[in-house]
Amino acid sequence: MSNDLENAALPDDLHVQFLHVFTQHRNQLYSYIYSLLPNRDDAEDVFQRTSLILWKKFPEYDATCSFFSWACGVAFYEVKNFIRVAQRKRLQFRDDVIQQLADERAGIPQLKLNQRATALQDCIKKLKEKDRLLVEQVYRDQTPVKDVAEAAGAAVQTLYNRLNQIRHQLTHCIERTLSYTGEGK
Amino acid sequence: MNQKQNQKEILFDLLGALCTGTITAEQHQTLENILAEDAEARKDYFNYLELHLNLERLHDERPEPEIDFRFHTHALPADGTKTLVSRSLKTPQALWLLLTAVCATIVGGFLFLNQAPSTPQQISQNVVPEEISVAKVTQTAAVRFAEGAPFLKVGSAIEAYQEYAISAGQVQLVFSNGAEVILTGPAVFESEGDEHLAVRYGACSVFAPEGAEGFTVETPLSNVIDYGTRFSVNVSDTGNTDVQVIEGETDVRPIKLEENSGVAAKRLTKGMAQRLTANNGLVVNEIPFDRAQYIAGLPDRVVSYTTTVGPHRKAEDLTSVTIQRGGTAHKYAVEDLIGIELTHYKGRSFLTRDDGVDPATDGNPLTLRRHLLDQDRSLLTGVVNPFGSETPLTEPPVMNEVEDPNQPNTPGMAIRFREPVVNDAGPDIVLFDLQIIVHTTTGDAFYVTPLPFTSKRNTHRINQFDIDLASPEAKPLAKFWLHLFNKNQQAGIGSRSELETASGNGGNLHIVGAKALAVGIDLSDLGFAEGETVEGLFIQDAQDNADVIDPVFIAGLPPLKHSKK
Repeated sequence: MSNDLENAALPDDLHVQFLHVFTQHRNQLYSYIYSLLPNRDDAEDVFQRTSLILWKKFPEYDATCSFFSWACGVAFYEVKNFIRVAQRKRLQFRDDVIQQLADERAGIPQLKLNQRATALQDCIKKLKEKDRLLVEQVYRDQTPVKDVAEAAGAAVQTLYNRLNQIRHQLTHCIERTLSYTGEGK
Repeated sequence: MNQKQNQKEILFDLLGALCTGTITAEQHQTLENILAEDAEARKDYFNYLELHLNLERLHDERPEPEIDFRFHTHALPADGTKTLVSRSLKTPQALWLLLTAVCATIVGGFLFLNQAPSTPQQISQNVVPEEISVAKVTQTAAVRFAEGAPFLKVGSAIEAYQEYAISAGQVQLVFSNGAEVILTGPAVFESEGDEHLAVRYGACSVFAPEGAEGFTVETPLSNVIDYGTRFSVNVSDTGNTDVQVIEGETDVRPIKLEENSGVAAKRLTKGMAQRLTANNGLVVNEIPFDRAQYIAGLPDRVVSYTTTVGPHRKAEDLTSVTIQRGGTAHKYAVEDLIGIELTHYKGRSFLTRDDGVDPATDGNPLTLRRHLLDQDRSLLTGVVNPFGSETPLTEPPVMNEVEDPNQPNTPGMAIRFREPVVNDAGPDIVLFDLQIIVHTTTGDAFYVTPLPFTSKRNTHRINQFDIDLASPEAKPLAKFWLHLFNKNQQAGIGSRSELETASGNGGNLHIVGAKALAVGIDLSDLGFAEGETVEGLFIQDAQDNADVIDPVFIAGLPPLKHSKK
């Protein structure tokens, strides 16, 4: 059982501050963790633990510094810890690659990622209707791929391949959109 | 296509497989090498993953159900209906506030990570085919399921025309005709009937006893038809197929890749092996026989357990445990297990049932806190959070009944079995641990040292539970209370006598859910020869992270000659 649950809570004002700043950065933090542990179960596991530690250590956070950078530092340690404890139960990148990914991922300006997210909205609208429906079923409605395949009378692998092509297509579309606006990669 | 474009295509294929959870070890290695060497590829990697996550976040943009945090206010004091911010921070409430935040974090996290569709999706107007069960899952070991794949546990039916995918671990199936199959992940499979299994990817070992002749394993390049035998089939991600025959005979019938071409079927007998590859047509080669490809059984381990159930059908008291020893599963009723006595404790807390009653303050001198571990069958109660060490014990532990400040007791806990436990085949001891659902999936690592201490034996580190948080056999537990000692909540208490006398904080209902994990301990790993006996154990948390082991039930197994099969 974690010591975290047994320690005293934050004072009210810090509690509010924490929830505010954490809510603001939680997607960003999850993306960071997912880029180091690209498996949903693993990333969620580490994200939950990182959240608890951030909560616990929030009184130590220097508000003049970036919350995201501070959170990345904590998350990176938790990722390493997770990999060490989990051993080789799942496919994971080796240490030097994780270190390199962590350094570079933490340095990507959020503005750029936001621009890509905005461009994605338009690119989804430009997909062929059939592809857009597939994206909506699998991602928005979270219908299991096998169910979609069964309904369409297609093989599951065929749909996986199609989703790969769609993601590829969306990537190109985002690149093109950003290059028009001069933002690029 | 130039080389750069080609490399990019390869990278995108790998990233696609990564995001859909179908990436193979070989592909993962390739991706790792590319990422290690190519800065441009790392940018593509970040962008692709961000795209995937942004698509997943489309789900959050749907109208959200209102979040109701009142689900835990029932346990708050009368003024607990105040807002979080306005609630006073008196000491007894501090834990509530923290737990509330933990819940909020978890709820918030799941809302954007894991939100389930609010209504079931209408898949199609097609008539849903009748579900036909062709096989049952009889065992699982360390199994993980691929994203979106059906979840299977012991007793689950394998339905015809349903694709299953495991990303790791092993599943054993028994078909209606008696054929036994062990699939090792990553593997993708589907059946059309009780004499058929299509293996699209992964390794499977088949035992077809008398009556199961004709059982067919279909692979992307062949049909392997059994004539009363043991054989293994291993299918690569490109569909290439290796067949090894351990006993009896099988026919390997290659499929026709083109209408007017075909490779003749061949009968393989014991000790023969064949590889089928697609390379400008179907190619069949003899390969060296490798018996190791055949998996005769799952590893010895704790297979499953049963419990009584409380409110909301959550597990409470252990009733039986099934453990594979020497290749055979044995089911033990809890009353047939060898009980323990807690003989030493230096740690921080104990757990009680949902009534929150502390045995030290219940007015009954016969009930003791140690009984929460050593005299009940509950998986909700225990003397938990023993202290530990980052390194294994190298000298006899100090276990004074009253701690001597000049010779501090050794951190951890000790137990004595009510009768010696014999080293027999497979696990000899079983330990259950209460694990909070957001903590380490594999369970908290710990050291176990045989007592009495001697340098001739080994301290053994347990890194993973047989039934861990992700295991289909791990049962969610009913509510329980966590009690701390008032003396010094971080320093805890130093001896068994203090465990009984130290004042507690009255306990708090633990909001975050937990499951019961289980692991078997083999005395051979502790340096015992077969037939030798152990009197007791010293247990220490491995202190590899902030989480600490929480033993809620420990018992020895009777020697095999006395056990029930």
